[in-house]
Amino acid sequence: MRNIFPDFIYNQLATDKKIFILLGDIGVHSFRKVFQNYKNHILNLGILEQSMIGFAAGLAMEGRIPFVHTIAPFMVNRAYEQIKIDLCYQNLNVNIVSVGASIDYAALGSTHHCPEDVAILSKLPNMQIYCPGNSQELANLLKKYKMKGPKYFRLSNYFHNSQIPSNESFTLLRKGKKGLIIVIGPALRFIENFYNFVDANIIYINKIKPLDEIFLKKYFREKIVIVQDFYKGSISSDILAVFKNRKIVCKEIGLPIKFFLNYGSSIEHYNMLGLNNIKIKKEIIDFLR
Amino acid sequence: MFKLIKTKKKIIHVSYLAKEGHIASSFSVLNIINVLVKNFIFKKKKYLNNFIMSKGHSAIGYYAILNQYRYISNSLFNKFATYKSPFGGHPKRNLKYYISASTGSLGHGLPIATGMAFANKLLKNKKHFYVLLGDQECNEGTIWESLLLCKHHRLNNLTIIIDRNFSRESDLSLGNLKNKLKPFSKKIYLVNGHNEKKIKEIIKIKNLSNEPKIIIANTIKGHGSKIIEQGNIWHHKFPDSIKECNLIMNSIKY
Repeated sequence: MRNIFPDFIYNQLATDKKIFILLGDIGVHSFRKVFQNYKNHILNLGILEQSMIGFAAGLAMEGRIPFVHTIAPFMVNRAYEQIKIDLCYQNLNVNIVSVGASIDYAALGSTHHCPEDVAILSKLPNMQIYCPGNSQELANLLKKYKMKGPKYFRLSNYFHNSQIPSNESFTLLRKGKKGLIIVIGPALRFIENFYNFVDANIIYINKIKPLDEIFLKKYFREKIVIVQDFYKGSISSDILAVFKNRKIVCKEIGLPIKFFLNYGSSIEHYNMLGLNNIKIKKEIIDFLR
Repeated sequence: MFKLIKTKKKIIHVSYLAKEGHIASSFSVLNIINVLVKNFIFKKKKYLNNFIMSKGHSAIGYYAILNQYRYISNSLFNKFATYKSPFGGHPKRNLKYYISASTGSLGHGLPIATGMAFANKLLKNKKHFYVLLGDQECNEGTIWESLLLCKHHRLNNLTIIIDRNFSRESDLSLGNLKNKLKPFSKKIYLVNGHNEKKIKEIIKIKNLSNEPKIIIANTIKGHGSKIIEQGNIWHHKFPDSIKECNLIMNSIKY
């Protein structure tokens, strides 16, 4: 997924000279073509995430469309107040593209984990959050970069292999009676080998904020399952707000709110947490019974 | 020395009405803001969108100067910090009312100004930017970050003015600020922050270097009233009664 981003920028710069890329000392090699051909449109700014957001705000105020790119926790956690005030309060068109979703950097430890990005960014007014499920979706979503306001693109090492029938951010994958399953971005990998056998409405989304309320309401069921690969509870309050005044039983599949103190690979972590197809299938079927 | 007695009295009165405003912080930079508004950030009555008040605390001082030159009306200024007013205790970005950036949380304005200056430098625009910092704001890590950026990217189209009012020097000393800033710029000037003629002269000096100009303006917090100058109790205090309001207004002598 990560390689799509520099390619997209390189191609887009041919026609859009407002684009400006700020790297937080990562991805310098993968952006080499941009450095070679568009040197006035890219900077490896350095390791100063807070000022990078402010700097991007300044660029946006002067008519540029900045993309800032670094590892998720250093952007979202460290520069949270800059994102809140410089970008969201002032509602500036700045695009944040992260790498290292949730526990992608498992072997580096909790300093490099960011399973809370969606939860905390979704509490910032004006912020748009995109959670692409594979490279093709990322390429599609990045086309929204000109839209007004701050945007967060969460890039993950994980992806799903399903064919999503539409290019929309909200897609009905299957109709059914016993519940509503909302599955987000790369987390579709958890259920893609069995969802066709589940008697439920299954909605795939790769845009978390703002939610398409009309779409979600259309497929309401009393039993709701949210399938995510970030912290549980990250978006449930937003989803419940859509179905206000309805009686709901909600089940969350996702990461528990804790530090993941082991190293190893992220797949080991997901397995230890019971986040694999077999266990999730059993949980969902039991819940919808 | 230029006196802003009438404007200061107005600030006292408006902050009394609103029960809001950082009077003392505004008074330390009022002369600086006056020089900027009069000479450098408005041209033919049009705001140039080139001033970032990183020190958001002096918001009421900026509005008062805008009011002094009739950029904003008396009635608008009198409604300072009321529910529908565009002018609050800390500024909110609104180009219609001459506010380029929302500030107030310290250490945000300099990075923004750095980005603005960089964007213009890249396009070889002549536009020059001014950013006003508080001295204790320089505790923030973003100041270090942004100064590195200013120096590295040769932002000689940015003038950084630091209000050196020593308000919290005893709690966390900045010591010799000029020495601390020297590695970032050879163009550092010390000035009496209440001497408008000198401030203007220094801002006007053409910066032929490849570094930002830094002006350390020595000021007195609460400048103008012996009562307000006396202590930090006036950092975020406003007159409680009309009696106190009159007392403070009458205490303004320069």
